[in-house]
Amino acid sequence: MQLRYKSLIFLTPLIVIPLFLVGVLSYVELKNINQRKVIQESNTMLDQISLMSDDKIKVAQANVNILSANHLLKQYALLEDEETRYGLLLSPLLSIFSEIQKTIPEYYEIKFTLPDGYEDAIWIGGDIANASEVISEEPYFNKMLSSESVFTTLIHDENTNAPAIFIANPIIITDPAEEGVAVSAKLRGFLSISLDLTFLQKLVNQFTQATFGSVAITDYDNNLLVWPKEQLWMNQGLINVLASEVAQRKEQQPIDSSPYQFEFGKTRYYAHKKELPSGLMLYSIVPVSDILEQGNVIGNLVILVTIGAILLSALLIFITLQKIVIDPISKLSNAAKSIGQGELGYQIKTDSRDEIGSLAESLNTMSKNLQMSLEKIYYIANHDALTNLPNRAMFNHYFENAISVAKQNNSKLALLFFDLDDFKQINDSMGHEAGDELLQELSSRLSQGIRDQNCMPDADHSESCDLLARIGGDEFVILLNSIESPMDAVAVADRVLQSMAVPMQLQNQEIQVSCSIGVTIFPDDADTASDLKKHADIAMYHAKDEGKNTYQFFSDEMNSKMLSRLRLKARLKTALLEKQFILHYQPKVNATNNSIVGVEALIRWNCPTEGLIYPNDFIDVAEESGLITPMTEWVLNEACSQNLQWQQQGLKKLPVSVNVSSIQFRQRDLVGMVTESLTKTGLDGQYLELELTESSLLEKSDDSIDILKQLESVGVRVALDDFGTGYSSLSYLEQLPIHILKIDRSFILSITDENSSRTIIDAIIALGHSLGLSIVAEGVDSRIQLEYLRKKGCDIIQGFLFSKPLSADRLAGRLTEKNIYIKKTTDA
Amino acid sequence: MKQFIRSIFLLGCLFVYSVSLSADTSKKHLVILNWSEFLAPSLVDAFEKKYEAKVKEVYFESDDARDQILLQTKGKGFDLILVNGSSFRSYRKKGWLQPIPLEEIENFKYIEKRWINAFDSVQGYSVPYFWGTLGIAYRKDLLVKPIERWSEFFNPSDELKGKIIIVKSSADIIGMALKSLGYSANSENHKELDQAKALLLQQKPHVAKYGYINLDENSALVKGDIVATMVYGGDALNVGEHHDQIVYVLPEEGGNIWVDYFAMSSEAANYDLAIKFLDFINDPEWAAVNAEETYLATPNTEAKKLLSDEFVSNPVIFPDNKTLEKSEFFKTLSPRAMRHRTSIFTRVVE
Repeated sequence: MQLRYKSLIFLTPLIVIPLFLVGVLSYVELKNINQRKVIQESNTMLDQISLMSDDKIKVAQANVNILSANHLLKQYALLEDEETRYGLLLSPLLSIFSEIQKTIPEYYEIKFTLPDGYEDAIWIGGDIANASEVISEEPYFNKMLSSESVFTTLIHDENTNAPAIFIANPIIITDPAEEGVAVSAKLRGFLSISLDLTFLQKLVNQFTQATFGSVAITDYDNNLLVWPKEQLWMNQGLINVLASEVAQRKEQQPIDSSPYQFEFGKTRYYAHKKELPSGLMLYSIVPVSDILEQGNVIGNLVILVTIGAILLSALLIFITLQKIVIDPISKLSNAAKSIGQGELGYQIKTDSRDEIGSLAESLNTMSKNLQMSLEKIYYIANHDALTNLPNRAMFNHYFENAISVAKQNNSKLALLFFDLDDFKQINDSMGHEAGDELLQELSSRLSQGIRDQNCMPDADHSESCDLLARIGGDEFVILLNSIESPMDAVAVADRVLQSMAVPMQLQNQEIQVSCSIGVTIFPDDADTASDLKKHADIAMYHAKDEGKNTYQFFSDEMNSKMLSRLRLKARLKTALLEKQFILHYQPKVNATNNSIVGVEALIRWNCPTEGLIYPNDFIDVAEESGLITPMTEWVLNEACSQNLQWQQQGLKKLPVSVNVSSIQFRQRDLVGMVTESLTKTGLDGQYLELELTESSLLEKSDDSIDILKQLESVGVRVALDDFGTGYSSLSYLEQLPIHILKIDRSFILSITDENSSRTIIDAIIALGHSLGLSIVAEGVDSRIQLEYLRKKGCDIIQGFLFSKPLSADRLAGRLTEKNIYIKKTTDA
Repeated sequence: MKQFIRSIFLLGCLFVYSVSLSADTSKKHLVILNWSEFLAPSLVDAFEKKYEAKVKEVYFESDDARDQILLQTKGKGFDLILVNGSSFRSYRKKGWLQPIPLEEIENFKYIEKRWINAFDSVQGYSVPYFWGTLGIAYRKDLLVKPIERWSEFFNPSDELKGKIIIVKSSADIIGMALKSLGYSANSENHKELDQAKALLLQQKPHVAKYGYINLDENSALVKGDIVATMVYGGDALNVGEHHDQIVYVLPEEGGNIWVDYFAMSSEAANYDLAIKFLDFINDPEWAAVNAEETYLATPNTEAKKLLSDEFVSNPVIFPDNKTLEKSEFFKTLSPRAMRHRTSIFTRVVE
């Protein structure tokens, strides 16, 4: 957080100072401009007033001239006889004056004065009385006398007691009638107009309103004549001060156009001066404070703007810095913290290409590298360096997890401990290098055999994940996760032994190794890791005791079980060789008319020592040992030849169905076997049926269809046995070229079982029929079942209700015409 | 182009005019500057017939107006000028008049002696024509009580306010104002004159017009727009013909006695015809006709004899001496006084 404020504190002055400077300069400049403006305005104003008053006076002078030329006036002026003058001419002349005065009221006095100063014909506007009738005493009189043309002067009119502009024109004319042409003109008198100063007052008022300061008009002696009355500060005293200032300037600098400055009554003023014709002085006076005030207004504005700009820039800087620098940096800082706290592989999202972006990328790379390193370390910590198999540590950890998972899921685990027989000798004789090589070779062989090696020690792992680990010099362990039965462990143990059985090439020598395997089962043998490990160890030593290159279970039971299995395997071999197997045949009956329509061939073992043994007891061992193939071969041959024999005997021709195990279906060329049997025995394919379980068809789906099609092509039909217990998809079912559906016993039971629902069996029958298959019900043993199945449309019935599996002869008996239809009298 | 056409047109007019003029030069012309209604039309007709001449009258409204005309024209264009006695002196001074050979006027002998020299400078240059008074004519039906004094006129009651006309003549206005204040009409006293000025100025707002009323049936006095006016006696009777409620009064303070003379313009074009005319109008019979038709007092004694009793005894036309006691002739005043009066007069009427 600090950085953002730090940067702000450092950067802000950089912005503030230039802005401030700009502000100050603007302020000063604007102020100056303003002042100059005011002064200029004053000057302009003075010029204007001067022009206007000049105009006025000029017009008055012109009027004086015009009036001087008036015929009547001339007559009047020439007439020396008073009587006539006053009697006849005065009245019309005064009328003229009066008219003029009405038209231009400012010409408040119009008169004709005789050369001696007597106001001979005088007209004064308004109620003004004429104080005296002579102007000879007036100060301007002599000057007027001596002037030869229009005479303009400022006077103080005693009649009005106010200043006025007096414009007089000497009337110098000749009287052609009386005095002759040769004589020069004589002064007859003066025609004058007195102009009051109201126009000046108006101008002064106007201009004072419109601009700064005030205008004052004085006479030549600086007596204040006209000024705006509202401006109370304007008085004679002020003018006097100003006048002295003017006089001073005149002495020092005769020509200077800058304003006068003076102080009066604690106020400073600027003033400009202009002389008007007729001796008037024009002053414009501005209190300095007024100018400053204006300047202040602008100044304040500038200050405001500057402050605003400063604040705005500060804000913008703050925001921009934040966004571009501070935030990314803090983001990076947080990321680094996370990584430091163990969140390796944390990747910072960034799309900027700048320095910070590249820093983020580097951080990401570093994080990833850290993660990878950690993983590597982890791997190294958990794996054996030589073989890359998980090591003891990992195994222990994994084992603990697997146990807790198995406990939760109620599943079984198998633990196989094994070490190499006589490894020490190999090491000693061939050297440690060779020993290592051996171990590596062995490890890779073993790894290939294990179900799934890609497991991480993970408590949540619930998949069936097996572990092969090297826990000691030549000591290995295999953990089988969620096994179905201990037999799964056997398969693995066998595979281990088999993989060892293949000799190894070691330093150009062929070496044969073996191992001893100890097997223990969870939770059968124990339920703690340490106990299980102990048991496995013990079992391994058992194996060594038993002669090595073998496996031993911890439980004796298991061991004995294994033993009997082995023995059974041997006996089965013998049985096959000595033809101890026989086939029994169970009739399949038409549901409606009870006639036999087929038979199922079931294998039995006529063991000399133990008597008749049913397939349940030996089929799995047969499948395990690979004996199932010759057995199936034998069954096919036997069933076909028997069926042919019956046909040759003239008995009803019907198909015989043979069970084929899923292993058989998967592993061997079934089609070849079947066709060979048919050819060998000569039975027509249509009289042979194969019964396959759902599960066998589930795997290798494309191949399954092919095989079935091939079978079909030789006429052999296929029945789906134990239907309803597998996981086939209905669409797959539709594709399969099968002909018969055999409902599993469990569903037949459900008919009579109060607690079961019959919906499934109904559905199966419906499904089968909709697929065009004939339905066989297996294990029917009661009338009720039969009735139900008949009602539901089941095609064929097989079960104890009609007949148990019979020997060939007894079945032959059933097939004679007489006994085709079976009716069972006893109810089941 | 316009200018050219205009001047051509003007020239054309002038030509026609001059032709018409010259056409009429066979007939002699007599131009008389006179008051209106001051010369009987029948007399004019008779004269014209007798002498095969054409008489043209130019009218003026007041003495001062006539002064203006003469100032402008200096008498040129006129043969005979009707001049009031008091103006004679200045007219002569201006040289506007020439002497009249009275011996050539036969009927001059009938003129009453008292008028021949009544004013300064009139003798030898004039023939007395009519005389009369200056008073007030008013509509008696429009007033509560009759006017008897000038002061009533100069201090008008509400009935009179705005309904007064005063003769635009300096002597008449100021003179009568003075008389209403009890002073002489010829006073030269500044104080008295200023008082008169004040009186006139305060009357000014209530004066409808400074001028002279019409004397025909369209007169404002006939209509009643004007209730009272300063008027010469004969004119009062003249306008009175049109309304029987018009009354003339010579106020108690007295009025002005005027005498009008015929004078010969020094620029007279028809001197002889003018002389003949002067003789003609003084033929007693014609003088009587003239008087009767104008309601004016003739100075011709023989003519007076021929007038009806009624006429002669009309106090408006021929006021007796008693009535005339307080009235004055206007005298010639000093220049300065005249100057003062002129300025007062101008002040009042402008």
